[in-house]
Amino acid sequence: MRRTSPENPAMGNRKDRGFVLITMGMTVIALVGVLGIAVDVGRMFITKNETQAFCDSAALAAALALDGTTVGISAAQTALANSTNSWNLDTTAVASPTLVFATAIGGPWVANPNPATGYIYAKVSTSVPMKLYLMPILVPKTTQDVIATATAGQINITSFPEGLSPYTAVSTNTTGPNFGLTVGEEYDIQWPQYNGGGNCDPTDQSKIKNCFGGKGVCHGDGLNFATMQAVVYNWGSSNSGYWGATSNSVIEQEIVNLNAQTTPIAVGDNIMPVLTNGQKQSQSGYLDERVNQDIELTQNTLGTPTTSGTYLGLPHNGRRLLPVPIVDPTDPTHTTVLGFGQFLLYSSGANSDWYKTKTNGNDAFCAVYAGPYQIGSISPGAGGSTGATRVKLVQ
Amino acid sequence: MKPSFHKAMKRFRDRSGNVMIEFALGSGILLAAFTGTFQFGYTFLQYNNLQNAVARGARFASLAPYDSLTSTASTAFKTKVQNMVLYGSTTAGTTPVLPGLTAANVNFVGAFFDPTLKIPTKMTVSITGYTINSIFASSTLTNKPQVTYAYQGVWSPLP
Repeated sequence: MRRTSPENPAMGNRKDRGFVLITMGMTVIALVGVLGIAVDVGRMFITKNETQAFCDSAALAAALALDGTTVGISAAQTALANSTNSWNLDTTAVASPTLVFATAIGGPWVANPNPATGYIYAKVSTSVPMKLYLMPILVPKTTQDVIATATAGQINITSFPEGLSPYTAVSTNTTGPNFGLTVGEEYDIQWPQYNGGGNCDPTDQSKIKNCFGGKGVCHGDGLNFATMQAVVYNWGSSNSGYWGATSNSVIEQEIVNLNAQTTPIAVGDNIMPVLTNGQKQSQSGYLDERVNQDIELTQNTLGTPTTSGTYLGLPHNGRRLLPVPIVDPTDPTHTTVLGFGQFLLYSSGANSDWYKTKTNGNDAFCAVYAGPYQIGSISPGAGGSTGATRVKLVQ
Repeated sequence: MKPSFHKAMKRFRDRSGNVMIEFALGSGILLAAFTGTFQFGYTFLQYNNLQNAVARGARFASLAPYDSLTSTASTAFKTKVQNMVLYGSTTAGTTPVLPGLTAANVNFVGAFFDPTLKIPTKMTVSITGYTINSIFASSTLTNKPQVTYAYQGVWSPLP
């Protein structure tokens, strides 16, 4: 039976004195813990998301800059340095993030690969010391490192629902990413009119060039007997490789905006049914319109980012680079899509009218093969089996 | 002992009313602690939600075809980005990710390399003028959270 004070029953047992103090002390410790979770752990979650956004953004920007050369590696490092996302409720810059590269998602990861051939993955990691405000009352820590990592890579694209220009390049070589095309060489993106008379002989390498009217084929295709034979035997006078619209306004959207593609184009597709004759004069004007949206209009040599006096070596914005499917006319009813590539359009200088003035009627439309197409980049990508890539987060 | 001393001691030992005083003191501390916990917790939760929504909007903006010749985006493009932040979709929904968050609070800026390069390079989305009301206090956000992504879409400048 519980004992009570003889003088005052409400006083309780003398041994209970101080119990409330102890209880309150324990409760306050628990409350500080809960408040610490609300404040410090809550901030940890925000910091984690902020640093993750930094890593995601930086990894994508770095992977976008990769081009298979050490110049691309430097550009990726610059992209990381230019990342502006911050943390600590958007008040503090992320200090000392690390950037490494790999040829495969599983690594090995290298900080400065040289040569950089095949490096298509970029991984950004960071660790920020987040200051703790209440948790130090309970645990012997004043900061908590919050870690974030993101990996982005150039991922092969096998299908384009939109975003291609309505031209083709021809090859009988099925091996990507270049399909036998030589970077820096010019090729037909639209073939000249077929002319079977005169000295045309598709079986003779020295005479097959005579099967094409106008000024003949572009230099790179003129070196490739198999390509010319494929066109002569399977396209003849029926097709030129153009597969766009015949309406002028749509052609302009297709060439300048790349957003009027009505037919999805995928590797392995037979695009023979969509090949048309087009409106050559209109097309040439829109090609010039796209060219004039670039800021580099003086150079027709592709070059490299480190070669001065070339397109890639001078400030440019990529508008002269045109993505097209690369196809193989295998028979008169099948033109198979092998992959994709991008081509540098020619310029005659400021207010360029190259295609208007140099492609008379049924002449070939020539452009310089620039390499694999990377969506969103102003330069060729590092390449892939399909010749087209998009940068994506992979981890 | 004298009776007066006994009376004084008795009055000293009388603890009636102590519970009320302890409750008053304790509940004050508890109330402050609970209020603070709720206020910080709710504010940080909403800020975290905003951070994710803004990152989602910036990522979308970096991939969508950009249809302006300048760093000022078209209304259509801007609306899609704002809807992506508010509703997680390019089309407008009915319930935004946070109560009271409107398109006017979503600030979008497309940055170009420089005036000469004439193509978009970065897309930045931030929240401005939005107040997180955690009942006991409120916080108004100005250009935060803010997320920037490098542009990697297809530039489509024609209308």
